Amino acid sequence: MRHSVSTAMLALVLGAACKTEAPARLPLAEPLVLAGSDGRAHDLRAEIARSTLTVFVFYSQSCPCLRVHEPRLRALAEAYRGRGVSLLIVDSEVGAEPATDAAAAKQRAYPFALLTDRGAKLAKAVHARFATHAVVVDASGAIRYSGGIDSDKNRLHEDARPYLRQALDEILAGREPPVRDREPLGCALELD
Amino acid sequence: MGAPRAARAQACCAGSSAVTPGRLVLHENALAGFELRSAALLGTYDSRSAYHAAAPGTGEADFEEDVFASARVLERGQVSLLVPFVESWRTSRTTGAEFGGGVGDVNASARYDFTWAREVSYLPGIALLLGLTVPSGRAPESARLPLASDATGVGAVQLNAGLALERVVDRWLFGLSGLVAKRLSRRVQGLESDLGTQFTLLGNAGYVFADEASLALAVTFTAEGDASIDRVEASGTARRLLRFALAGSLPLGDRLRLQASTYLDPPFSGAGENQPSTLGFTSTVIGSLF
Repeated sequence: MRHSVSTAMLALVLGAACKTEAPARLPLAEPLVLAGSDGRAHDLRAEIARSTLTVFVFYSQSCPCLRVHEPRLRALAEAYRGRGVSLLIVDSEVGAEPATDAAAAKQRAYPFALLTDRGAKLAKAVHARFATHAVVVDASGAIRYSGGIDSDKNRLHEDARPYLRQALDEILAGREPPVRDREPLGCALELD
Repeated sequence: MGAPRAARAQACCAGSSAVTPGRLVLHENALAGFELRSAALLGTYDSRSAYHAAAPGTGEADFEEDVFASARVLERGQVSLLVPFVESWRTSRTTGAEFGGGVGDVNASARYDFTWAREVSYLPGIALLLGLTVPSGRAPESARLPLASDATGVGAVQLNAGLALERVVDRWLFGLSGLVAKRLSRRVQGLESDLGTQFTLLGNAGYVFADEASLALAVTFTAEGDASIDRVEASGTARRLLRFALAGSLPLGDRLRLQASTYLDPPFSGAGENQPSTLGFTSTVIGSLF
């Protein structure tokens, strides 16, 4: 235990020295199948290939920043569903369980699936460290945007800069988003 | 199977700043603040830790206005600068009342968070604290007024280093910080003077309400060894103080927060040594950018 703690500390010290950037592609060497709150097993490679764009938004059950963004996520899912965009919420935190996530998705009336990412494989693969972090992946597996939903933290403002929407609009129009990454302003995810 | 998780809202961002006003919380990149501090003398602890209430006809009230700013220089690293303005009103039966003050000792500090609270389930938030205080205030031996109410600084360069631990459990925040302060030698009236090394332990527990308002209780214990004059230890000059504080933070939108605290050095024997016992209040306004 002492060794693992000191190793973890060393990794954190070294890792914290520079800000980690999202990889250019979703680095899934092996198939990743996550249990969804809709009762389905979600094979991410297959799902990504089926949609024009797939948006993963990282979740923390207790994060007020994620909670206040839920209406915006519902509206975004509704607005882009017909344009080939699939929105999935991902719970990668320590202790994430499909039953708990299914109950939470039902209680929060999510119109999208809440996926349980045991071991935080997806979060670590895309370097997600904060709740509300959104990752946009195209059908080829390329990460086109990685960052905050918008410029709001735990209070919503009408004049917030809608980073995720802007990125989706640009990519769907065949252009690169003006900014490929923006700092997500949510709570720190407990991944280990 | 993982342990069941808390269902209630965690402290997202601002709760941890109730006890340390100048600290940038998660995602904040810069802040500037102004703090008003006032304290009234209740009594003193002597060198044997006996408490003596302020004698009739004597009194002291201390005031401080701090201007501070912090900036994030690394994702996990921040630096702060604090400029204090210090005033004291003192009265005694022999000399009467006097009021003095001026710029205090300017402090620069740095904080580096190796881990943030809640980031790793089996580790607390761990931060390294470093500080430098320069003797920009008037040292006690340079005071011109009889009761030294115009002394506004310690008179020595002070170097600080410490470690801060933090844990979040549901809406509760727990913190424990340890600091060591070494004051450099200085010459006072031709003699080399050294203050003892100072150790500070701060424990706090806070509760974060909806909308990020928070309330915290803090206990601080400070102890320092005997001072020395020309390298000879001056016995009976060690200092010690126990302080209790209640602090609160109220966010007004994303970029502004108000903070207030009250603190008390318990007026009974054993709670201090060679120190005054005071009851104080602080109120702070902070504007931040993220």
